[in-house]
Amino acid sequence: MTRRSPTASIPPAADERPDEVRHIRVDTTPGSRRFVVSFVVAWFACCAIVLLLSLVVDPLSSYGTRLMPPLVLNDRDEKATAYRHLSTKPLAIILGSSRVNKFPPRCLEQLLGVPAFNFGLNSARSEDYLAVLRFAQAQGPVRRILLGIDPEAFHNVVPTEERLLSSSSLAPFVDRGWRPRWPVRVTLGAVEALKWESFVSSLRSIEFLIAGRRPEPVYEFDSTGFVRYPEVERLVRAGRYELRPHINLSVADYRRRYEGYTALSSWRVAAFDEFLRIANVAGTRVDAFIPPPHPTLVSELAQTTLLARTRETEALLSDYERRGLLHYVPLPTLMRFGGDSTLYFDGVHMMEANAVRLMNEVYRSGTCAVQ
Amino acid sequence: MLFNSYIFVLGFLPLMLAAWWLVPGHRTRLILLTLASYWFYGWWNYRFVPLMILSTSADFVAGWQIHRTVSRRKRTAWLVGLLIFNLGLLGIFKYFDFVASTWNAVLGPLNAPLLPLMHVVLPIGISFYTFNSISYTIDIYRGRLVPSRSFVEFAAFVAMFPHLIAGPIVRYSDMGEQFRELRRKPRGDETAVGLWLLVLGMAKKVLVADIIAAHFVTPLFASAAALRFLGAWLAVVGYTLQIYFDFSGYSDMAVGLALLLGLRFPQNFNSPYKSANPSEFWRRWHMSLSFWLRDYLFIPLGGSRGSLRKTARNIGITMFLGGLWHGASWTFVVWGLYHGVLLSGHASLKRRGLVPRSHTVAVAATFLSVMVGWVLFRAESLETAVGIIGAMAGSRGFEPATAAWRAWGTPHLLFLAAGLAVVFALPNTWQIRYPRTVAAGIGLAALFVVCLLRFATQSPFIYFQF
Repeated sequence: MTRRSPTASIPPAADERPDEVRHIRVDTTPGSRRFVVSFVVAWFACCAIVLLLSLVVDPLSSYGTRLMPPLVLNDRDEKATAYRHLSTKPLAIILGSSRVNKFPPRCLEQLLGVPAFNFGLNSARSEDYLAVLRFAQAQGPVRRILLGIDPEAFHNVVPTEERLLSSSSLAPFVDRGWRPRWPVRVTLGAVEALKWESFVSSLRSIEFLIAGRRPEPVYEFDSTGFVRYPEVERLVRAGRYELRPHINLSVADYRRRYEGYTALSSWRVAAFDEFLRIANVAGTRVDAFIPPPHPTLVSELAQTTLLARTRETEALLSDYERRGLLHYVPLPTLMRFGGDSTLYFDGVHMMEANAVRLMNEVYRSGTCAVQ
Repeated sequence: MLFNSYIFVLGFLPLMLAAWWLVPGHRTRLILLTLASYWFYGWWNYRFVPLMILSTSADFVAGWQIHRTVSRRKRTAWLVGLLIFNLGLLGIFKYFDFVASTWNAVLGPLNAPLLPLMHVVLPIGISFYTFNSISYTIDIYRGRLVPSRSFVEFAAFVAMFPHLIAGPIVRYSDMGEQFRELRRKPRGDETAVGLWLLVLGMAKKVLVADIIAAHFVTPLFASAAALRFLGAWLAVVGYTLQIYFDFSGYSDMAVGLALLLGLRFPQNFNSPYKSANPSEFWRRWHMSLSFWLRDYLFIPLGGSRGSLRKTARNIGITMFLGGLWHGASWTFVVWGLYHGVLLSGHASLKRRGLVPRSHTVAVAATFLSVMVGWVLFRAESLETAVGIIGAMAGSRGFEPATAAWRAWGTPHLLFLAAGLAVVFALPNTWQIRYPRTVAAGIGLAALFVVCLLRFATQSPFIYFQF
């Protein structure tokens, strides 16, 4: 065998593709530089206007600026205030993310025989559980906790919720080490402000301020912390609620949430350890379960890390149970508690009827009939 | 990382552009581009970056071996070995479970041993970068290309982020010379056109395709079994527009991003729905794939040089594999074969002089045929696809037009109609002569910010799955 020199050159044969297809042609037009400069300046200016608007109006209670009445309240602040003002302090609390919003405290009262409060918080993670427990213990004793724990509670990328850090009631119970550094907070705050929802809500908030009327809230909760979604529940009652599009939205949302969620966060597991430790010291019994998402969401997220993170969370909870730190009730499928896949608002949030069935499964000793 | 994500637009892109134009040294810039592209890719799943590096290394080594070796047999052995390696990777990650489940479904009842399913995660973009690499090696084998002397240059060609995930399928002959003559300073006209294409592509995706998907395609296909005449047509027209605006939007962004780096990519879309026959459609739709299939598969098979029968066979094989390239599912296979039948049928009619004389009729017939094909492409199963096509033909009855109008809402239907008007009546993004005034710059920036605001409802591009 002989070798050619590496530098030997073979002239390339003509490409069969037309030349105009191979490379885009760029015409030389005067003013290109001015155009680029105006684009960049205008882009920064537009972004600055949107950012400033969201920050000043703070329609979703994300920044705590409170310069105008917000459209959505900071649930952490509102629930803590409601809890503080209860004349009879609850001895049992329901904890978790918005996935436990429809778990009725009245049901827990029937099952356990003690007053209960739903302290479910949007996007709650382990540091939220700990802050809430510390806050609740400062108000009085807590004997029982029903904890609906999502695998996202241990997310290893998402930092502590700004709504927790800006909550005047719960922020004092947040450990200093959980607070993200200021560049991270600023970046996340800016991204939040650059969302369509924030922008439109800012405009709506200003409109309502000028018109002097308030919109119907997306959600509201009663004195026991039990959440209602007025418009959505009206549609459900009228039989006009379409589940599938909402599942699709959840699929897109959760695909994004699990992107980059590569392992359970060690500091969040440590926060959960601390939560269980102080619960045990105070003699508080913790009953935990993982709220099962809608089966369609699970199957559509089969290619993500959802399954792996769920298994790791299950293993973690089983380990805590072995150590006697909590009581874990595995609920891998809806069938396990007689759940109904049509009784969901979207891919993760179950309706009250499903929640009641699930609570009955957790506390088999009694039966709750609240519907 | 998605182009329509905050991390890309606010973080990766500005940093990359600043570094690209500030870093001195030709080689350093290519290293920067390669590493940044690996980061871009690894953002989704870093575990697959080594796979790409392995594939790149194998192609680079094999390219040189083929070039250096005189013995035809050994050159062929290197080529075949490399094709087995590349297609083997594709086969394991993309097709193994498909083959295994088909085997199990067909031969399982006959007591044949069942194949285990691997449930492996498909590395995003593997079909695209594999085809990029295969064209490189085949071009060297054919003596049309001198292999790259620099591994960094070749790695940058395979990995460069604008085309990495969903094309266009770029050939080394498109990029090699550009890499060797990298400009030191950005050119105003290239940057201006790059910005136009980036923003218009993003608007096509975020403000058109995603809205059509949310209001028509996703809910309608989700209830495919219940669709009647109008619902089925709305679903299919919606998807026809969604896939065009989604994929051509991505391609525009890719070309725009490349221009911002001072590089030029091939065209991928040329108003495909204006085509007057299936053959023209494939010269205008996903052009980089069409030309790839033509140059590396159809022509080596004999092309259209032989009898009509042989041509039909070659078209059939090419489109079967083209369909399979899109995904490991029988719906894609049948979609490919369907287009094979359309192409062969058109070739046959053309030889007999039976093609429509009216251009309008020809365009309408082609558009209709393509739409029927999209049902196969989008449906979750062949059974669902047949049901929808039947509903389009009226087999499931007709809903009252007024009720359908009320159900879907005038603004949304007008939006769909406007989408059709755009694809049929307006020039495409490669034909527009972009204004470079200050007012245009401000308007484009405002449009970009509107797109940015919509990122929170981001959805992946349809062609990411391939």
